[in-house]
Amino acid sequence: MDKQIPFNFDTYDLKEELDRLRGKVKKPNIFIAGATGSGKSSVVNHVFGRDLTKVAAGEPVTRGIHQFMSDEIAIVLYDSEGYEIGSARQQAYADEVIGFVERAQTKGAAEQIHLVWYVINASMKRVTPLDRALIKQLNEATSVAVLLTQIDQVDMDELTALRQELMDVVSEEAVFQVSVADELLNDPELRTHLDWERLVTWSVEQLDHSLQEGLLMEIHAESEAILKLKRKKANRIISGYVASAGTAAAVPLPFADAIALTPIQVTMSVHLFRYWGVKANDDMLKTLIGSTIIPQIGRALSKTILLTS
Amino acid sequence: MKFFPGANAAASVINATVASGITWAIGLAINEVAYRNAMDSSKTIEQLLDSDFGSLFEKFMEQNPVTKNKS
Repeated sequence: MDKQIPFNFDTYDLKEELDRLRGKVKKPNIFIAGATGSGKSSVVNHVFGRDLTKVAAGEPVTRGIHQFMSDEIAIVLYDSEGYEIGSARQQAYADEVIGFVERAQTKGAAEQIHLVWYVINASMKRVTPLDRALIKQLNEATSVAVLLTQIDQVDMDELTALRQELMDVVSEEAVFQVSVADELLNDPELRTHLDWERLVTWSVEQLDHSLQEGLLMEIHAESEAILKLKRKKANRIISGYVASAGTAAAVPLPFADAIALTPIQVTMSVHLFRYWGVKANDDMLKTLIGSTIIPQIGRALSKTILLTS
Repeated sequence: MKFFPGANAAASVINATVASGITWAIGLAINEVAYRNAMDSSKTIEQLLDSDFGSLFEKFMEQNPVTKNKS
């Protein structure tokens, strides 16, 4: 029988574990489409709380479309260069976008486009025929959210008219009203007209369970509703480690399970800290787990044993 | 225990169940601490772990019907 080596926290390679975890998280591919000036960058910056196109190096994957990916980001972003409304390039843009997405959907699951955010500037007060045609085609290939941006520039009637123009190309629940104007974001009553939270929730639900974690890791959680969603979805991460712990402990030898369990529980703790974006370097995380969490578990368990025996 | 057929299997099941319950409680407690940290940034994660983790872990152990009387 193999001799089991006791878990040694001092020699536990947290960096290697973090690298392994980063590699394990499946990244959703999100495509941002829309005309020039529609507000694509503002959407990305608001939802993710930072300009991901600056964090990751952008590689052109085809004409006019850049892929932004990095080890530091749990999603892959595809950004299209856009087009001037009314320009000759409109149709070429549509062909490039739909061609790219349709080709991606024939590839393996990891390379497919899992979500499209199609951005339309509401202040233009119209949905162009090209927008409608493109949204319809994209919607046949993958999940498409239509984001009406700068809604602070239109009145309710104009907004209703815009939504009606989209009715036959995309379902009503996939249309989102957004704005990054401070007067809307900072006013509790006006904020109710914004769909930022609904956009995040809807987008997460469109993804396979294995891809949800990546998107939730990157989301800039600015509201209680999104934080609650994030907390709820973390149960899936925990469940995976619980299953491993159960398997590791199914050995009826005294203390054998403790040797196998500690690395599982330490890794789970690191995983959850990373999921929540806890700002701590690797050494600090190790200290937190080693000097704060593990002793508290020991104390709580001995207390429980004393109370129940 | 060797003299009772099936005792090893039963011990394995109990071990696995308790280990799962403890791991589940640790996970939920860390998740809750991180959630509180995101909700209220006035306390650091270290402070929250110091002040809240132990009681949360106990609470989730208590709530788990499998581990509450077996740990």
